[in-house]
Amino acid sequence: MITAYALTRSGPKPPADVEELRTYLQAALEVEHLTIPVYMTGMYTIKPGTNRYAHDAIRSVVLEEMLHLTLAANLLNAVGGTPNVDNPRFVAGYPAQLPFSDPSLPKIPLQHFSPQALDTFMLIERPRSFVPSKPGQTGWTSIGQFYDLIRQGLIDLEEQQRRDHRDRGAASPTIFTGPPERQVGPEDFYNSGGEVFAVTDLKSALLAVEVISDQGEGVADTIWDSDDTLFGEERQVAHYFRFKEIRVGRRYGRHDLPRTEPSGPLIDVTWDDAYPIDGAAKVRDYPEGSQVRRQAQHFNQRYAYLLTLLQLAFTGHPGVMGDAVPVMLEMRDLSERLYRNPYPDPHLAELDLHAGPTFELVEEYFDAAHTEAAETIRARRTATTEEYTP
Amino acid sequence: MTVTTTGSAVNGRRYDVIIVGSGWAGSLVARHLGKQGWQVLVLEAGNGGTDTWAGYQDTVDTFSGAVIKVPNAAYRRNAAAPFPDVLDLSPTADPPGYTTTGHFVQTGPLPYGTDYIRALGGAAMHWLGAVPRMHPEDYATRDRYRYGRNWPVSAAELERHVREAELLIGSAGDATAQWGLGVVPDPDYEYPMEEIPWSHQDWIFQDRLDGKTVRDALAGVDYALKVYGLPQGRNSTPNPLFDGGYRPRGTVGRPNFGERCVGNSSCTPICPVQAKSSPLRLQQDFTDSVHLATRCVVSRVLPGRGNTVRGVEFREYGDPATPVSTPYTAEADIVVLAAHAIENAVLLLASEMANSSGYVGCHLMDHPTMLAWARMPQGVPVGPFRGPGHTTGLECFRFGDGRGKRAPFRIEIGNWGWGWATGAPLSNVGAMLGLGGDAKGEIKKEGVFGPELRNRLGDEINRQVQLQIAVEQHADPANRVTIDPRRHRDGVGNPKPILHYDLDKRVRDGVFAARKVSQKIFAALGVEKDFTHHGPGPDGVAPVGYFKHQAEPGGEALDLAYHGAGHGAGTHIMGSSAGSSVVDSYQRTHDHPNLFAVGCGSMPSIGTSNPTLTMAALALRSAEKIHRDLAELHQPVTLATEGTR
Amino acid sequence: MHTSDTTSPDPELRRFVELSMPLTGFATYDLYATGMAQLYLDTVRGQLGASRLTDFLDTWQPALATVEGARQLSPLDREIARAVTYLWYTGGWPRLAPAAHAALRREVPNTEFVASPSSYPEGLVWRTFAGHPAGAKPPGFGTWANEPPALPTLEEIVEELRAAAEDPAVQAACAPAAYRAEVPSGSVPVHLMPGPRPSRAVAPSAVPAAAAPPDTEPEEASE
Repeated sequence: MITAYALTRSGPKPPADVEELRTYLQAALEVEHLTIPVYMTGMYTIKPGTNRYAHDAIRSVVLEEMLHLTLAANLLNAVGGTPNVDNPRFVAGYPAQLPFSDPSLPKIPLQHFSPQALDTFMLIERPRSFVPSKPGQTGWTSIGQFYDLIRQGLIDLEEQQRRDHRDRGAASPTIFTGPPERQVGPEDFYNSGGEVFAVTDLKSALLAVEVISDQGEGVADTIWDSDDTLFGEERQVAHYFRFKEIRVGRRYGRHDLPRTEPSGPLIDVTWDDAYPIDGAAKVRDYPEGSQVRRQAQHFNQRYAYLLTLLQLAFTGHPGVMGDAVPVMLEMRDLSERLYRNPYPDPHLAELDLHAGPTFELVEEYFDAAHTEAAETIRARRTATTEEYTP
Repeated sequence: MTVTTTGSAVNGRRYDVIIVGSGWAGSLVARHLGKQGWQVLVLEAGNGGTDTWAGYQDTVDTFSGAVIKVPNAAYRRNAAAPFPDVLDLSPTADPPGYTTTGHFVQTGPLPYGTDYIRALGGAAMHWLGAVPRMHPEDYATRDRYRYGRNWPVSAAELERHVREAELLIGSAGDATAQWGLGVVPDPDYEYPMEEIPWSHQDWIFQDRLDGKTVRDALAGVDYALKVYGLPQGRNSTPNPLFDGGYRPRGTVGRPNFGERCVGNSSCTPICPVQAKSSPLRLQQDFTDSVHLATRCVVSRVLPGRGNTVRGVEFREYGDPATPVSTPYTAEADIVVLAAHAIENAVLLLASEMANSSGYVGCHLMDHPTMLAWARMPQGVPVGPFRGPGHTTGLECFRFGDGRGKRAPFRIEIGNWGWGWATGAPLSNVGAMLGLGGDAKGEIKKEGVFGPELRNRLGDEINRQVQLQIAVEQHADPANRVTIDPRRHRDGVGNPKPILHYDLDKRVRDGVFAARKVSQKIFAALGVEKDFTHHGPGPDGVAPVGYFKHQAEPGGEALDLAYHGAGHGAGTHIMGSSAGSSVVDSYQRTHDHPNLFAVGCGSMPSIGTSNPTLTMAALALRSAEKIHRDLAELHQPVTLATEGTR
Repeated sequence: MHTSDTTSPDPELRRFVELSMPLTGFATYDLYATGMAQLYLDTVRGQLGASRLTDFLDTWQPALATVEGARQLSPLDREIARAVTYLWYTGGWPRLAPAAHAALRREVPNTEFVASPSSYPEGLVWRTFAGHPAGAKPPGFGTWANEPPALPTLEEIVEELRAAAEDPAVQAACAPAAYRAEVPSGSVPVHLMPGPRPSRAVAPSAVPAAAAPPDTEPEEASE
């Protein structure tokens, strides 16, 4: 989160040159990833077989965040940058400050499935029109504002590059000079909450930004996202409104508006069917010698491995996405297993507190992950494998 | 989107076409005719609801909660539209035989071990998703090998429709390999999606078998083994070479799900993510002119003027648990029966229609399937119970001269361990623990617990391999479906199917040869031990489907057994002559110009291919024909006949 | 169907899980990780009666401390131990040896059933070979092409359980005096393998073994 927090501190302004645009896009990767552990915690603390609607709705958002992450990587690659997702500084410590927002907002914790968790989710996905127009002390109001600046930057910088090429003999007529083989496409990434597509020019770049912001907060002043028009998919409400449905236990109706309460059919939400956790727990809080401590460490190692595979997929080996998806499914199993275990302290367990992943990543995990990733790729039998050396 | 209606709402109404059944055949015909603007009514006997995510999830729960994960484990029984289940059959000891309960009445020497489902989407809801093509020679076994029946239409004539079926089903395969096998005629053909990846086990089989030769002594032929990938109706990576590109279609009623097979390893009975194709997808394409009503059991085709038909009589019920129903009728210019081979035959027999040849219900076929299972040596784990049911097979025994001597067969290399044969891996747990008592019911002494149990189970299960060998059964008029409405009726009063089934010598020889060949394949594979056993068990009772067979007089006698494959076919067989077949090459009944019977029931032979793909191609061909017929009916020149409508 | 252990855990739950560890060969972490511990405890109580279960645990715990281990158990207790293990391994309660069913004087039918649609996917048997349950926990596109992961050796499993017994969160004395191997190394004898099902209608726990055991003397179902 280091890039996003640095940009937050420097205040809102459009990126002045391509180098700065790349910095913005790296921050976008961080922002999109920030939400994933938060939503995963809410989803996987649900007890088996219960709260199905809520589980599926949160899952759909997590998938879309993965799509956003991938689209952000495609954007960054398209403008000649290099995504950087496989290091400890990429991941926020939780509770995390929401970047590009009013710093007086509460921090984002890891919370089990609960009304409080859904309130947090809604805070993250809050549409711009819901945000008080008066900016906070940094000048930032919302992530939507951040994406507006990226959008503006893309348009302005592309136009400037075109002029520089025409008038001043700049070599390239476009800022989209990144190698096209770095783009992750639909052949490599599926079930992805819409469709991953290659970013190769201003048009596809603006579409990518549109997908990222519409899926979150909805098409301007509606509750709907744009997947049906962009991808021909079933029409669904944007993230904020999907979370609101769970929070109030009722779906939106066809004619509902952003400011009205959902008026559709009831949803079966049972808040008690969740494993309560201490979202602030760190590995060091779990006693030495406890199985939970070992497993929480193992989880973090595997998470580092997932980020390492994503790094490879985003830096010239898009086929590695095919190896990353199974690891995402492994994270599902590993986190569910942790949440189902009592907190490894008899007194806290007596209060029905449960264990959970801590999402703490350290450098050495990434070292080991790189070795394993190289092994995985070598072991693949498909002919399409590219050679990789860490 | 599908327009759903009810039986009472359509009572007395007139449509261009009425289609009985919402499985592959019915859905393909309905989709095609809807797109042409015709008013179509689809009547589905079974329950609906799986077209919503919550409804589909309910069937996944039913599967999870079922003790025995048989093909119908995900689908609740239905008293108003009953259907057979493989659980209906039990063995008898002396003499070795079988008894049956449930939907079928069985009178033959051997059991018909195949089931189907009456529900939205039909038996396609529990199909495996295998879409191998038939070989050109499969269409002409009478001419080439002097057995079975020829088709009135050739592989070349069907090619265009097979391609369309592969697109609409959404097929993944290696076209070059299939071309090499001789079933794809065009060397440049591409499937919409890339081949489903082979399992780790498949690679072991390929490493150890490819290039080796086994002799089938009965056929008198040496066969060079080669592992081929299986074309599948299952979502895989889109094929960039496919003309126009392809975007996999995922779950019905839920975005971002099922766009690839994620390896649930439960294709049959149910794919939880719907990466396995099903008619529910096609139903999403229905235009507004297609109306679909579930829980409407057609009981009779209504006769019209002359030799035409007028419509159908059906009963609508509300609760699948209690067969309380109300009779209605609906009328149409054309009636299409697409209710499964056996149900189509029952309907034609109950309606006393299309049977001037006397062949309605005759020629019942299946792929009698013999299982062979073995344990690999320690240190050679295959990683079973992963991936689709089978991803490769050995194809060499399907074609060529061997067919002159015995029925041909296709060897599926199963990915799910000994599941089918022994109930593994759950039965491994019981056996290793020593659960359940001995033959006398006393508590066993032997058994393993703790770390040893965990360790040994992992080691054992990891080495299970199983071959599923599907043998061709040719059309034999003695294998047949009849009805006896005075004695055997179901809950709503419709006649139950009465089956008389057997395997003739040629088929039994095929099973015999398959067993002998499987022993040699296991030897070539280097298995540690072949566990295959088809004879009587410790209690003296032989399994369902058991028979003892001697291929040659004085020769070796083998204990053999087969399972049903779910490939019911042949009951309204297709031919060019009205005297010796029920439908013509367009699946129109010879006797009634506006009555079609579509589906596997029309197939004169099923070769050694899972029949869905060919059946789907036939349905598309019929859909084109029905469109032409309707267009002709509606042309101004035919106005003179309008008054008769 | 779903447990309602949301506020204060069942007082016998911890003991049930901890004493299931040496039966199943899976650490308490893996047992809790099924999410089914309370459901299984309720299921066993429903099948045996609450006091018979407590009696079983009271017998099993001291038996553990002997070198004989499970061999120390009476035939009936051993069949109970098998059934509890089967429940953890498959998510279903098995058909018992008819003699055990009679001796327990159960009023429920002696047939296999799945404890809940949510329990079947949590069966431990799938973990023994690093697989996943059919129809749940899918591992992702193309994963079936990968070489199956290496499985832990017997020694590694014993060590894992020893370490688990020393977990500060584990309270019951659940480390056995010794882990004895019952069967020789090499492939498992055929009488511990399942044979073919006479029909598809035979439940997994009722599938006959592939061969009769070498020692055909059954034990008495006395209590």
